Amino acid sequence: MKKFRKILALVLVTLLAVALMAGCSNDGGSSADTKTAAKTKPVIDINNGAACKMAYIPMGAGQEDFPVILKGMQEAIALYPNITLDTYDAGFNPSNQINLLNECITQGVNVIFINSMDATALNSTIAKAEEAGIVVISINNGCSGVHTAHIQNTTYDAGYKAAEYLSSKVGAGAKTVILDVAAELKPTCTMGQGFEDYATKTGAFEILEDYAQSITSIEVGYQAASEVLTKYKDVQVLYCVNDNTAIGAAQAVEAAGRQNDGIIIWGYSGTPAALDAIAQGKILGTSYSDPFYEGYAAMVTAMNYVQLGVSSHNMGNEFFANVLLPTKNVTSENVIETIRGTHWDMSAYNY
Amino acid sequence: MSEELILRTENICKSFNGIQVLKNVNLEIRKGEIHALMGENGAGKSTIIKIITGVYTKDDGEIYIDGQHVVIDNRHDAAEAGISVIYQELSLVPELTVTENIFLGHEIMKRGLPDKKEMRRQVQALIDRYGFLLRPDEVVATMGMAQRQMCEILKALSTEAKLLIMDEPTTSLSASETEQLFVTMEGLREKGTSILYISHRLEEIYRVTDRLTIMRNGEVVGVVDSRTVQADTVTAMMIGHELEKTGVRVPNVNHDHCIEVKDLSLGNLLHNVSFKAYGGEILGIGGLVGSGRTELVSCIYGAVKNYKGSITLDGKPVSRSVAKNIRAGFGMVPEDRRTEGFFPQLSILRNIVISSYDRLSSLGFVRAGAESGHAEKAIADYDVRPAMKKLPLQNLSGGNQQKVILARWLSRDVDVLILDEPTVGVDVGVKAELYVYMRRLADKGAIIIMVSSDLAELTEVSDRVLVLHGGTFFQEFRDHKATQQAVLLASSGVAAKEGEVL
Amino acid sequence: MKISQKITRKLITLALIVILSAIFAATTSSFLKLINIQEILRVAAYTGIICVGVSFVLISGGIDLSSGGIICFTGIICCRLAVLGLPWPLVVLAAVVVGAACGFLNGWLITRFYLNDFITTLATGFVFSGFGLLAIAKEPSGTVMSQTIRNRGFLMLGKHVGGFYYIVIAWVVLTLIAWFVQTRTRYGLHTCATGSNAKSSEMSGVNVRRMKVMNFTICGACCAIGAAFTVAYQQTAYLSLGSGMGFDAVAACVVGGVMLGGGKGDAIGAFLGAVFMTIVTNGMRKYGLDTSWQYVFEGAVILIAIMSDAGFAVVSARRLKAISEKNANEEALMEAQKGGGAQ
Repeated sequence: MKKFRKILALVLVTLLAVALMAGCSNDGGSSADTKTAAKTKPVIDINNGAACKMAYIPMGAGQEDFPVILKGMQEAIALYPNITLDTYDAGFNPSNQINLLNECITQGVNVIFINSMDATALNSTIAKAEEAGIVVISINNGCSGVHTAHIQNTTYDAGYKAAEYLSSKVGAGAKTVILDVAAELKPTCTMGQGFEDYATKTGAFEILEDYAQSITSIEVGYQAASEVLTKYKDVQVLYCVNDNTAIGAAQAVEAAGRQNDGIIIWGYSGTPAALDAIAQGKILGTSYSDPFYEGYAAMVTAMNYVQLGVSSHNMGNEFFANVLLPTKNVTSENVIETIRGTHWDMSAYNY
Repeated sequence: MSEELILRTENICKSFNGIQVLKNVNLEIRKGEIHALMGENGAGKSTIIKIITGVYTKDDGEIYIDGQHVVIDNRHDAAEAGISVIYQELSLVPELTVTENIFLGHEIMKRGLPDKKEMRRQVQALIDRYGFLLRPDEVVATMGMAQRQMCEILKALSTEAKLLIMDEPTTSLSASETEQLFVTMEGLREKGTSILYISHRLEEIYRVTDRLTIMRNGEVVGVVDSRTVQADTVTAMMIGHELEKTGVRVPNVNHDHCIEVKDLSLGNLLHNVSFKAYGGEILGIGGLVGSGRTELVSCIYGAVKNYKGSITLDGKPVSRSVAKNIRAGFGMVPEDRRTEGFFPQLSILRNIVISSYDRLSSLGFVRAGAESGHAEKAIADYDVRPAMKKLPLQNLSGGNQQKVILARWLSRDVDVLILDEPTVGVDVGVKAELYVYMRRLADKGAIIIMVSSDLAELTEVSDRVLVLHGGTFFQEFRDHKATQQAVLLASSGVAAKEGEVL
Repeated sequence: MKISQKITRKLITLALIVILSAIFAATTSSFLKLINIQEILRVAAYTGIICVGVSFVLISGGIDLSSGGIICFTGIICCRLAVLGLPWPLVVLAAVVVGAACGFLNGWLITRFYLNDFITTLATGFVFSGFGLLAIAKEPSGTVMSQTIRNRGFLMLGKHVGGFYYIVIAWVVLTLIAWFVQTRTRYGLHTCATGSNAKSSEMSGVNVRRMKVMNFTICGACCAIGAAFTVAYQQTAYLSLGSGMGFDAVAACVVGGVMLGGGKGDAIGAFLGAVFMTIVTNGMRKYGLDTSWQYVFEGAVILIAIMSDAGFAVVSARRLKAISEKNANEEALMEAQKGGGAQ
């Protein structure tokens, strides 16, 4: 009797699941229809007040530029009351991002923005979202699979422009070390390549080493720079592909007692801490970009595509828009002006 | 009355689950006396102590301290009234110093911080007053057992205790440490502190106490002057009149089937113990708690493995693995069924069949029919109540729990059954049933070894009794010659010549 | 016939699942959708397969928090072997062997050195994650490389058939096997006895140390199975794979009525617990609440589950005390009658 009840309990759960699935099978059938119909999917006429549901999945609520990107997105849809934007916290876990993507598919959103935690793990789920007719736009951290658009600040140009600027500050053949990203990120983060290309073209810099690190943090930057400073006593330029690394490098220079040797440090992205460090003269400059405009651009891109009914999947998986936003060299000359204009929250600093 | 009384109890009564364990207990302890309390296990000694110290609440009766009527509902009330217990398991924190231990929980504070100087001064004053051999800054972990006990006593005295209760304080002490403790006690007596002293050892009672209260079956049966009383008078009072024997069983002893223990030694507990237990007989093992009885039978069962010496069954060595021994037909009912015998959340059925899966399963799969048939038969055979095989064992009465554990072994026809205190917490009716089952098994030719502190049980049920004292066999009683008195005396080490056969 | 406590506990969980599902279904538009149910089952299956293993450890009176680390390590091994092009049964077998070895190490450490299992498995969890970092594919420069699995056979494991993901099928099958083992075999009953009272088990001839080691080994193997399916679904493995799963699985088991401290519960309970926890997370998301509130709610659910267990124990203790008192009275009455008859 007991045995029977146990089995019954299990069967009940299974039945519940099956029944629900059967009950929804009509949905399933029609979703197959929409798959074919998706190509001629009517556009969402957002300019005439059509509703549009969007979701943004950052790596986690603690992602540094998340609030600024979100601000940009919200600004872009401020005059569209029927566009809704929900955010989800994945807690810096790719599995959670997968679950949240599935959640968005279930809820039938029209657009998903995502800062991907892993270039591969999300691919199949993102493909599933695209198949369901969702426009998926990745921001900064891309993924290798099919999706509609990727929004990022230029990296190659940033490195090239930074090298251009720095060449006027140092003599030809200045000894340089690039504190670069990990190798697997190099295809998407090409600022080091841009810097190197300028160096080979003009001979303004002598690249001693392209030093790769898997983690970008102040501590790791500090360690790496300390190592570089002991290895190459005569290094003149530390080109860092990330602001935290640059700040760590500045600390390492200070700790080595070489702050008066005129070692030039350059960063990338322009976080509040980096802007502060530039104003304090700790690092020379950075390739600045405002995440606000990334969010704004991502949103505008999304709005365009949903109006046109364009998505990677709708276009036979051939379509992919790589949107690159320019960066600006920020140094002590223009840092105050930049701080005044930025959307970053600078309230922790006195400007 | 000329002597002032520090403690007087009047008609204290207490029952548990309808069984009366204390009947109108009147206890009187004078100021500045060492008063002994004796009685068999289950006589009610610990119950009355627990009532005085507020662990249990009494059903009826009054307690007077210094002639004042007091209400003791919890330990705190008892401490307020000036009653302190020196526990067997010392309650000191070994990492702290004497001073820190004494003031633990009621530190003297000065500006929000403990005032170490003042506390140290007070402890030194106490030590000086009672002449203890202690230093206030000594760390407890570095002190000997006797010193720790002194520290414990000092802790009690620091709270102005008028009455100290010491429950078997000498069990963990060496002879010289015991003497040191007695000197301390005598010192306290001179300063006017009263001590209630509980012990099984007659020689200690003679040595240090003034008066002696004897309890039996929840009643006080006599108060005597412990300096003049005869040992056999005391034991006779403890036991009461000899219970009528329910017919002496004539065991059909099979001398070819036996367990032989040779020169068994275990740490400091057992020294070169040798004996034989024969098929068809119930061998009783007596002795005080802590005399090594439990360890001895655990060695035979294989639960304790690091012994020296040899144990053989019919000439073949007995394994040191419980599982192998069980397969060879061993079974054991351990001393503390709660911690070693049963599985509280599991059903009666599972508790019975747990050791019989070698017979009730094939290839590791349990044959459900065989399993429940086995359990149902055992429940019926041994009259387990309630006869609900699915009921978790924790919901049964103590006696029925014990029946279940016994049934676990009896239902698989064990060849060697070891019982350690088989009837603790079991009421009289069930006790008799258990004895019947044991005898039935012995009649089938099994070897039964029973350890017991219950003298009536030991002398009535066993065909032969061995008494352990000081880690070795002290005396053997053959052919039902054991009397409760003789066994008690032998356990206390006050018997006739060592090894004598009565 | 009275329904036993074990069944009641499961019916309560089941009832909660149904009630909660009804609430979510009524208040959100997407809960009852086919894809959402598929998703719930997929996520629950991942937790659930780990729960099957953890339930063995919990029932035998232990706790295993190293599941996350084992998932990470075995998942990375799956990924590497699958990238090498090994056939999927070999990949899974290798992962299971490694997972079982990790579990065996846990059990061996705990029983050999008499360690506390909570802290030991917490520590070995870090160790296994470290092994994962050692095993993961790297660039020549030493930095971690992300690999994409293109091994079709292995990727099959991440697919679904007739709407049911293979991981869900595996979960149900594993649960049924585990339930059978736990309730119908000598091994399972000895596991339960060990958890109920280790000392008594020892005295009854159960090899307690071997039981513990075996249960940790089973748990490790289950983690590897869960990891293999998840890696197949995600087509890659990464270092944060399995993070947080150690606690999640224990929580789901407890919610399903597997008692911490051992002796009570079975794989069906763990199954229901995993379903319940997944439904809670899934449903709460649909309200668009702040993540912090989701955490608060999930924590509250676990608290309520253990509180109701405690309440359950009190109620049943009272009921059974009444039974035993009644029995005692009956016994006394019978004694009296016997006495009367004799006179």
